[in-house]
Amino acid sequence: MTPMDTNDMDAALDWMDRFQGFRPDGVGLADPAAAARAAAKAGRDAAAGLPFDADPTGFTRLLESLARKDA
Amino acid sequence: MTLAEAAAALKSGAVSSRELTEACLNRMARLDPKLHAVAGLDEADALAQADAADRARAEGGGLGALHGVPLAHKDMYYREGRVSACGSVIRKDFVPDHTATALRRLDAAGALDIARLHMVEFAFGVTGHNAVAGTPRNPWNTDHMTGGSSSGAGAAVAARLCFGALGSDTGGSIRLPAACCGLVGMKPTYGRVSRHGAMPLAHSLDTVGPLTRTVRDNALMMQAIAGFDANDPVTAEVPVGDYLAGLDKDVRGLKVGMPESFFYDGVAPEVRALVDASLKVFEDLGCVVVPVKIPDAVQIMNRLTNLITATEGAAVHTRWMAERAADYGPQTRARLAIGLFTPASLYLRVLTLRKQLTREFCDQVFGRVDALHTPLMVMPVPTLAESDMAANPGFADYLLRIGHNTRPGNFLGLPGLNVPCGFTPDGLPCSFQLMGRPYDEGTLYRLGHAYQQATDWHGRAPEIARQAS
Repeated sequence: MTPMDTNDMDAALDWMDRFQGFRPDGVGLADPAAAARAAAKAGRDAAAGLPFDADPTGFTRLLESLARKDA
Repeated sequence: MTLAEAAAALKSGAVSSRELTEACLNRMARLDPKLHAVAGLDEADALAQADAADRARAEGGGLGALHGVPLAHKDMYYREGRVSACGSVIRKDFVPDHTATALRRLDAAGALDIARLHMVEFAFGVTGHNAVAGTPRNPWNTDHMTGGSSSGAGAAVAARLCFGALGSDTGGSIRLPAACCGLVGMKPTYGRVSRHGAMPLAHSLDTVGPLTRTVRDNALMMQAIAGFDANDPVTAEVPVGDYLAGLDKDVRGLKVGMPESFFYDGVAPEVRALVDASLKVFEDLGCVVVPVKIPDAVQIMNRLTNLITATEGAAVHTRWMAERAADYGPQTRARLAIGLFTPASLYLRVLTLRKQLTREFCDQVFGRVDALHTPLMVMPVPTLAESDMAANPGFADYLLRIGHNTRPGNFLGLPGLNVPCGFTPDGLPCSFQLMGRPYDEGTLYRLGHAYQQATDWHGRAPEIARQAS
């Protein structure tokens, strides 16, 4: 993959303007975009077999269930 | 004098709160021009708090464990009527109308709150650099970074400007400055300490905890702040143990895990030697060191933590990003902006995945050991110059390297205790991390305290602090 060039960045910011109604000034997206791309792929791959029939929140309750029982 | 020693000296009458507070204020006046750790200070108010504490002690009655001890905190804990700038230009005049639960609990324990401490802009960064409010300096060598985002807290406690400080940790922001500045830092279990009244960065990851010079000091502060709070819906109802009573329990037979993968990836030889030596101390103390296979999924947790942080951070900052983008530093702005592009489907997928991976990690690791022992940073403490990445090419990967061993703990919601274990040849501190199962901060404190009883790294002070004594 080649890094984002100025045209790519303008296109991304145009997208934001169209879908979110604003265009932040002076933002450089190339580097975080590359990192986010890798994170998104990792998340997508790792979650491939997961059943999405559970509430994604409620993390505290999960941690409580994993706490020591002999504390 | 440590926090615990100060509390004991106050109790015995050997020293007054005014004397301790004046000493801290004097050190701030002498050292802060070099360290840039203090964001805000009202000397008259600090002394008034000290005098009130001394009067209360003279009148007798039940006093808290921290009565009269001068503390200072990261400038993101709201106190009603006092500015909380959060390391930013955008909030430089923000005056909250309520007080953070953690501060209220420290108040109830009798602690003084004598200053606001500098931090990374909106707590979004691990090196300590702040392009808009100034960058604190590391007391061990002012050419080196403090780590972040609790940068001022790390510098202030290490330089003895106060006896302890609250930081916050979303990806390593307590543990990294603790490691860089030679301190003990506890990132508690997600939900162990209330975040009510603390500036949010990423609500799924944010935690509140102390930076101190010793494990005992840390346990003292944590004892005061931990526990359920109806104002923070993620706080747990799991009872808080007696951390102090557990400190001196024998550690013989406790199983300390040594990771077989991931946590030593790319570790510098001088860091490895010190961390290995610390593991040997645990063996000598009678702990059983157990090699532990780490689930492969840990490889992606660093990146996924960043994704959650950027996404949730963007939700908090959308309006300011739309209206005041130029008021952010370039790195903060770039990292927040990318969060605006995360698809909702991906975000929900990652949160669901998180629960699955946390269950797997706890089963595989904490089914076998009581604590996992890792390096805290895989590199020696970088200089300010080499870590000054702003939003330049390569910054995102550099930040990933610095938080390599801290972000998995945030993703998994697990407690992590940073303990100093020596100095690299450049004279900068080096640390190991103990990770534990949910709400088992007590075991981490017990192990960390045993280590500090067997070693003397925590007793060393930076030259700049010794000169000011």
